[in-house]
Amino acid sequence: MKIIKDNGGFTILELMVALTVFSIAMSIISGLFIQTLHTQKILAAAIESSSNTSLMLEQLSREIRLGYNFTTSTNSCGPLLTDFSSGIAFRRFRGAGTAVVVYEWNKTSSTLARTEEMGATAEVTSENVMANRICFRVTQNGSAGNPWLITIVGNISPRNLGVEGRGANLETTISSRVLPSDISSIATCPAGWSARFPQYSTCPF
Amino acid sequence: MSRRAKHNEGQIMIESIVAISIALTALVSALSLVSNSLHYNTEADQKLVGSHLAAEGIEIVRDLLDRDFAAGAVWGSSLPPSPFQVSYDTAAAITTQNGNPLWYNNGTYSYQQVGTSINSHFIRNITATKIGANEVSVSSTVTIAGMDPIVIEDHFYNWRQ
Repeated sequence: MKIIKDNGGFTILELMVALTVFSIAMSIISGLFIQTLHTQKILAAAIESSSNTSLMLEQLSREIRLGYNFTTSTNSCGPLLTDFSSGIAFRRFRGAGTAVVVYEWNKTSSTLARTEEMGATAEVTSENVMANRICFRVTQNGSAGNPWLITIVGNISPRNLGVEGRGANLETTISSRVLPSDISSIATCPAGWSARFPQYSTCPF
Repeated sequence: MSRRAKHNEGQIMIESIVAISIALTALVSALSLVSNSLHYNTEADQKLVGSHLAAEGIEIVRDLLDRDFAAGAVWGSSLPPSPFQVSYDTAAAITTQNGNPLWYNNGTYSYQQVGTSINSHFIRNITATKIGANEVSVSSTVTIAGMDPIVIEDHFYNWRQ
């Protein structure tokens, strides 16, 4: 009976101190745990977004590799914050003829869209990819007879995770397999081209 | 009374040591989990950028070889002794930037350093080895501080001859 009385319980003060310490420790640990889960979520989305980005770049590269007569829009890769859209237009072989292909980046929707032969425009960026910027540079080092070198510049991040501003600054360059000397004749510009794509100063075709 | 007080004092000491150790262990492991996640996040981004830069190196060498053909020069004659560096805005391959980082400016990576350029910490070196007259083995290595280097290799053939 004496033993029971000795261990008769904590005082209210002891209990309060213990509870306070415990709740402080728990809130720190659970905060960290929630933070880890959040980071994990961002990481998973970043992996998904980067594999989708790689897929998009792969599609773009494949088409550019087979393209020729490249031209970029007038504001492509201009100073940051002034470019609201940028794009590249070129021709590529399609069956017996050729097709005009345009890739356009839209700043408002942060997407990249593709248009073929003045047809309907389709987005090529997947839903979880935020293209904060995509622009193109065309280089023909030396002379007009040299091969086309197309540099794709982009800032890509996962969408809807609050990390849009911290995208990866990507750059890659593709060398077209078609040399200027391989092209026998330059086709004419498609009808309605300058009305639909006024941002291309001259008709490249 | 004095006996009871003495007895309880010892218990409190051991209990608190154990409790603090457990709390510390939990905190440290939780913290390392967070910092590891952040580290992997950054590393994944760096690797994505690095692998595209490495691929770019290979493509520019392909362009140099095509230019040899377009100019009617000996195929592969524009490749300097390895290792060398290339960038999209440099007309020829260069050998003066060995070990130097690419400079990041307005979205692009190059060796030209202007006022607003930032050190990207990506170092790219290209090695090209001629295997016979009509084959070149090209290897593009991008080194990022604190990470394994990214190496891409490709073989080009003088198929246009």
